[in-house]
Amino acid sequence: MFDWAHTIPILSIVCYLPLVGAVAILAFLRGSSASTVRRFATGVAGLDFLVSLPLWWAFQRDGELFQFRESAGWIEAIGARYEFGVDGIALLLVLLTTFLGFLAFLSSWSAIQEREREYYIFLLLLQTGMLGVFMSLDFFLFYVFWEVMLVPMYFLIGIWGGPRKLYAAIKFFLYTLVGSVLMLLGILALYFFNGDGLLAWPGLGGDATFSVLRFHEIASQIPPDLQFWIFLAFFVGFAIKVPMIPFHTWLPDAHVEAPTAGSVILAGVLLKMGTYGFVRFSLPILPEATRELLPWMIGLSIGGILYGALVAMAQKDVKKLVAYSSVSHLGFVMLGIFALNPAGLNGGILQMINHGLSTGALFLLVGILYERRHTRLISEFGGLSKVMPAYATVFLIITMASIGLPTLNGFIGEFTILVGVFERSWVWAALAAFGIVLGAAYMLWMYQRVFFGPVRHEENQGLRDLNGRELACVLPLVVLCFWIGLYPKPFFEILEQPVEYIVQRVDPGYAEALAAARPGELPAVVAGSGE
Amino acid sequence: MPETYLPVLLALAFALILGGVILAASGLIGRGSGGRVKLSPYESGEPLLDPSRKRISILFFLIAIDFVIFDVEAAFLYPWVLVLREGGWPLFWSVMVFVALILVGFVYIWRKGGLDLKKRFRTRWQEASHG
Amino acid sequence: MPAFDLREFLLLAPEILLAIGGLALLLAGSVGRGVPGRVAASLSLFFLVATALLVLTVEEVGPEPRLILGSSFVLDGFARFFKLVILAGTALTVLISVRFVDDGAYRAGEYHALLLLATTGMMFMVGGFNLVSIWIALELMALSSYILAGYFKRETRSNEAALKYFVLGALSSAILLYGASLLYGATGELRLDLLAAALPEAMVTGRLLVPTGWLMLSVGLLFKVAAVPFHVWTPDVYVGAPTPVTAYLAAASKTASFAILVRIFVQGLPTLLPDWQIVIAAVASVTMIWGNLAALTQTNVKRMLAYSSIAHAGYVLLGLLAASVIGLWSVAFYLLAYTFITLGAFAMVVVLERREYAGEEVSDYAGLARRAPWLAAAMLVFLLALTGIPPTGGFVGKVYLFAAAVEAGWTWVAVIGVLTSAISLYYYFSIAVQMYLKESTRDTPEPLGSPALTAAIATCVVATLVLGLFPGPFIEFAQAAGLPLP
Repeated sequence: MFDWAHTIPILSIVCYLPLVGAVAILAFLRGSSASTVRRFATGVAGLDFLVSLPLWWAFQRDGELFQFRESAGWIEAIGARYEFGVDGIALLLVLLTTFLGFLAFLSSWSAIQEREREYYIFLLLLQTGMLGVFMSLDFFLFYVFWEVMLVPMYFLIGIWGGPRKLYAAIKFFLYTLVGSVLMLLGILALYFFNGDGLLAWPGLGGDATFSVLRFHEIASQIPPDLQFWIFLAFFVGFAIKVPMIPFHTWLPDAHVEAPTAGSVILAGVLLKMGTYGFVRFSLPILPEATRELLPWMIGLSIGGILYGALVAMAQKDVKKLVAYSSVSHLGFVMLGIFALNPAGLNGGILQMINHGLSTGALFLLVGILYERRHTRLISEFGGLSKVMPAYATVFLIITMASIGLPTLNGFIGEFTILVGVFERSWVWAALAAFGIVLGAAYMLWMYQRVFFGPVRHEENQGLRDLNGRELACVLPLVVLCFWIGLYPKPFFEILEQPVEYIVQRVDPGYAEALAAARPGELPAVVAGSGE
Repeated sequence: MPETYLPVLLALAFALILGGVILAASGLIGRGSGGRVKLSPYESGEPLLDPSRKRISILFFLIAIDFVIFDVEAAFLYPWVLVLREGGWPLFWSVMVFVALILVGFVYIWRKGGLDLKKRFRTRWQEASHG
Repeated sequence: MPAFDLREFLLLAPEILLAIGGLALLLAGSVGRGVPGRVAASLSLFFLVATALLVLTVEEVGPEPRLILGSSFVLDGFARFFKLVILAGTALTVLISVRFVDDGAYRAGEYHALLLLATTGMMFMVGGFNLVSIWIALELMALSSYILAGYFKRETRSNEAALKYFVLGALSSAILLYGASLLYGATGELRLDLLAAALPEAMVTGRLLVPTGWLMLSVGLLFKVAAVPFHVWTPDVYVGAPTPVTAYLAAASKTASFAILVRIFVQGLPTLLPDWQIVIAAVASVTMIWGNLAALTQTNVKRMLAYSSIAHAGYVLLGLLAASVIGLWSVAFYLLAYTFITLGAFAMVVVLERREYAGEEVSDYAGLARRAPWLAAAMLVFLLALTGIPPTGGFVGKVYLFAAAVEAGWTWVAVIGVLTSAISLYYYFSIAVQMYLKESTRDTPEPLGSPALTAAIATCVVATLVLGLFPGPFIEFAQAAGLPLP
């Protein structure tokens, strides 16, 4: 039914539609009113989501690993190509991006009251940048999108942010830029390793390439010490983005100061780029270094889980609390990924989506409250469940999703991660599980202080409950949380093949042991994934 | 070869020694005489009419610079004359280009009033830059 | 008889035409009331374009370099590439000079004549194949630049700029010449290729002559490209000189100086490669670090751009440091991109500045995004390019340079390079902060454009973006600028 999606360059369309929209606003909507711009931009984002939807059905679960491939020459002189393609992991993230992006647009209608034209232009550009990151199969192209995306995000925080926006914006930009330039050196080292130096340069008749798949293939030939250095370079780039401790300090600032839509996208999508980077690049390209540095990675992940949770508990500001909870949750994702087995990876990737949904929803909800009261301090609230029952209900569901209550998405992700981690070591699993307990503690405590008890502040008496547009923003997220919580099978199905592929790359021994233990059960892709 | 420079060195040393000896000898042997009047500056036997450290017009400096420029470049023409016949027309035209370049510079200085001693730079563009 | 065929002069037709153009403008400018600014600008644009066309047609280069006029000059892809880049830079300078010449109340003809003559000098520089011909061409460029820097005759800062530039420039030229003479003394050769051939023996017989000679030569050249620690003249000169002249110095003059630096080191001193690589590595590192750190504290945009141009000299040195095929290409490509980026940024300074150096503070950019969104967007593109963020030519150029350094095994210098370019974001974006995040006050100067200025900025923006998004053809163009390596 959706086979036509394979015949058109659908990824490019999805990726550049927001860009076209931004240019259109610049060029054609010069004198238009703010509401026209707002509707138009939201329309573009919605259309983009609709266009991206067929990917879900058209993607062949048992087909090739990377589908919807687009390939064209770009900078022949250095071997950089225009390569687009998605596997199951990227597909989910692309859909998450278009979906959360649309919601972010919708949520901005009342939150953003000044310089709206510029705001929507930047937001649209950001969409294009993020989508490009997930779609690129050429390292050079990937890097271009990776950095391009920083600029609109910088302005979103810097112009429409909170009181300390300038500081937060430049901190965000500097941190991520430092990380990415080091990553660039890693990319170059890989590039020259693959091409054996000078002969690789296409201008000299070589066939140098930035192709990610090519790097996957040569992974086993890269000497361990080189792997080690490249891994460190990548690590800085990705870990800052995730963020792992000790690189996390930009995150609370950026989150707290960013406008609601910015926080939603920041938490929902931008952070996933770091984890995506680990999954797509570090693990399959640098398997030996990954295994060698595994204890460090695990340590940092668990440290992040516990540290994030403890700091979140001490927060007085709801948004900051949610920000620190992100540090904790992303620690879970990293832990799952570095379990280096199918369960861990599956869980980690699914938890990326879950975190996008639930934290995105939390930021939306906090934003709604902030619009009404212009404060986010927990002490300013109390008893809101009486004033805003619908709001309280939705907030509760999302809180539960975030904690990991069964029947909701968080449970599936965290449980799968723990299964994977347990397979590696029960100590890690125990420590991580302790993080879940802490998570439940700070979330529930916050919920209690905000929603229960008497209404202590006069101003809170007359607060409006959710309106239609706000409900429309949040409800889809709630539905998705339930869907993943109750019936995650489609997600695991789509992840199965890429996850097997990565496990095969990063830990061939594991796949063999698995094959020995369960002969005949291994999917064909693992056996024949050498391309 | 360093040793070929020896005569130069000797001549230099001789000059220094001679000068030093004469000065030292006259200082030691001679009698001091005259005092203030003798040490005062004079021009051709007349007392000075005004201080010698007075400001002079920058114009003289510019003229001097112009002179040095053209003088040095004219010096190139002497060797040219000596080899004119061997060089033939190519050499002739080469030097003509050289002269033409100098001529452009000359015209430029002329038009800018660099040779105009009387008007002291009161030319139009100067006024323009004030207004 | 001359030792060469006089018809070879025809191959220098572009340079000769440009020199004639300069002289003609000089004469025309000094006759009567002189030529009006716009006429002078149009004439010099005409000469520049005609020269570029001549470079493209007359100086058709084969695969082998061709030595002409008794090996004083060489026609090769390297010279051709840099001549075109320099001509493009000069043409843009002419465009951004229009307003300044109009309200500067100085004669337009002389200004443009000096520009053209300086450009002639640069063209001879990049085509020079002999230490003496290179030096003379360098002096033609330098002497014209000194006057240009002091073109605001009645401004103290402009005088200061000219004087500093002159004294320090003359000093560096002297050092350079002295170095060249020592090398000549050691080898008896001035031609770069013969010098290279004679060096190994001279290193044995000449003892200290060779190291002293090439070190002095390096000092002179590094001075011209404004590398730390020979950079002290740069900020004052860049700030004091009229902004279009500053742009010209930062773009064209720097490009030409880099071209001879590369040519002399690669073609004249290949024997000393391991030695000068160490020097260049050290100089490149401190240049990148100091240039960027010093720029951090600047509040005057011109001064900031001056330090940024010092820092960029450090990045370009990475390409030379690699001393590889890729390295030379990357130098060529980066200088191409850098010419457009720098000229664009300085053109933006011209848009906002007023007489007597007003409108040059970072805070004068406050709220520009609201008052002039397109200009602010253009400036943003230049800032991104200077930082090295895609999708701009600055990014591709930097990747190219870092790639060259990594490939040649100078990873630690490349690490300094990437970290300092991340630092540079901070000060470049202080301008972006003003433009987009601050509101203008009553004192903020209104942007004052002109068609010529707009044309220049538009050209620079388009070039910067095209070099970033579709650099393929330009990389191939820059590859023509390769030099035979040892």
